[in-house]
Amino acid sequence: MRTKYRFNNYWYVFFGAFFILSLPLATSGFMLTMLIKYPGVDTEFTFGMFVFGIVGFFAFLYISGKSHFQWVVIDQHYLTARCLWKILLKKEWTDIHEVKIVRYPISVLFGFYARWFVFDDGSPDTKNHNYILDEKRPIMVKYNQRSLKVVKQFWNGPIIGEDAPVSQK
Amino acid sequence: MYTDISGKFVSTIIGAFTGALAGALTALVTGGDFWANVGYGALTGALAGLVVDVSVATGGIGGLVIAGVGGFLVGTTGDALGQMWLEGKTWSEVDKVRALTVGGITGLINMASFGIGRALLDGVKLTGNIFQKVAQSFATCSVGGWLAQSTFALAFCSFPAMPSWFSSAENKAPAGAIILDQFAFGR
Repeated sequence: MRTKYRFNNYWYVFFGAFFILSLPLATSGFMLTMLIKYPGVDTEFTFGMFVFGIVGFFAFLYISGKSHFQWVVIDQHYLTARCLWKILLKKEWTDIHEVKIVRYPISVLFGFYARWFVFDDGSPDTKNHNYILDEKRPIMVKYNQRSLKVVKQFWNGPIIGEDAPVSQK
Repeated sequence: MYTDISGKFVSTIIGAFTGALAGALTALVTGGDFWANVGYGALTGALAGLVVDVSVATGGIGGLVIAGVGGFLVGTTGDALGQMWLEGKTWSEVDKVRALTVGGITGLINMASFGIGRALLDGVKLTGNIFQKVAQSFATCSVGGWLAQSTFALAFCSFPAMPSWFSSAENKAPAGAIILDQFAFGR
């Protein structure tokens, strides 16, 4: 049986981050092409946009690396939330007071909800921003059959909210 | 049980729908290829909505940077490309001031959408300022919220068509629709 499980952020977030990163790259690539193809023509604008694209790429890379490329690793001793650049949170199972399933809105407008595991260690509870983890909030993992199985493998206590009707989860 | 993201992908979905609608209307008005325009509109609307969704979910300064800088880059580059594809200009003939203006407008629209999206996401309270009250009214009324999001989504998906606003009357199809028509549809 495996002893370490990784839960990535959603494909939607990864895809969105890749798309966002592609915007400045496409701009700088286009401007570089124009600089080579039309040397001396409106160089100020072209070079300016080229540099802006490069700067934008690194700015987006920093933001996406921190906010979008995130994952949680669960093993028998620790829950570790990482982003691309660093470990955001690392908790031992013994730090966790309770594990609960919380229902968060996917869309305020349409009333869609999704369930998350919240590993409550006494941190202030989450707001609605859910899947973007940071240092100030408890570790969270999206609820699904895989995460349920893994949590039950390492957590012997009750899972609050597990038995609630789906409509109330 | 549905287990998609817990983010706010509503702008992506609505962007796709309204983009397709805008594409259909463009085709009807300009006489362009109907399905090429619909496909292009849906794609660009969804991607533009995606940028807003991700920036809203990101929040803070990071989300604002993504919304503003991303919109500016897409608007400026898109308009410059549009001038070349739609109007047959060479790089030296492209109106750079116009491209920067379109980029600025797109960036501002994205930042406004980011602000509204964050307000809705935070479950704003009626005790807030006028903008928070407006956002709250959208949040509590699904039809109102849908209309608000649709309006913004229409704005998102309209930026690829911006070059055609400036071009001659006989050639007003969005640049991307022409590309799709030529390549994706094998003509």
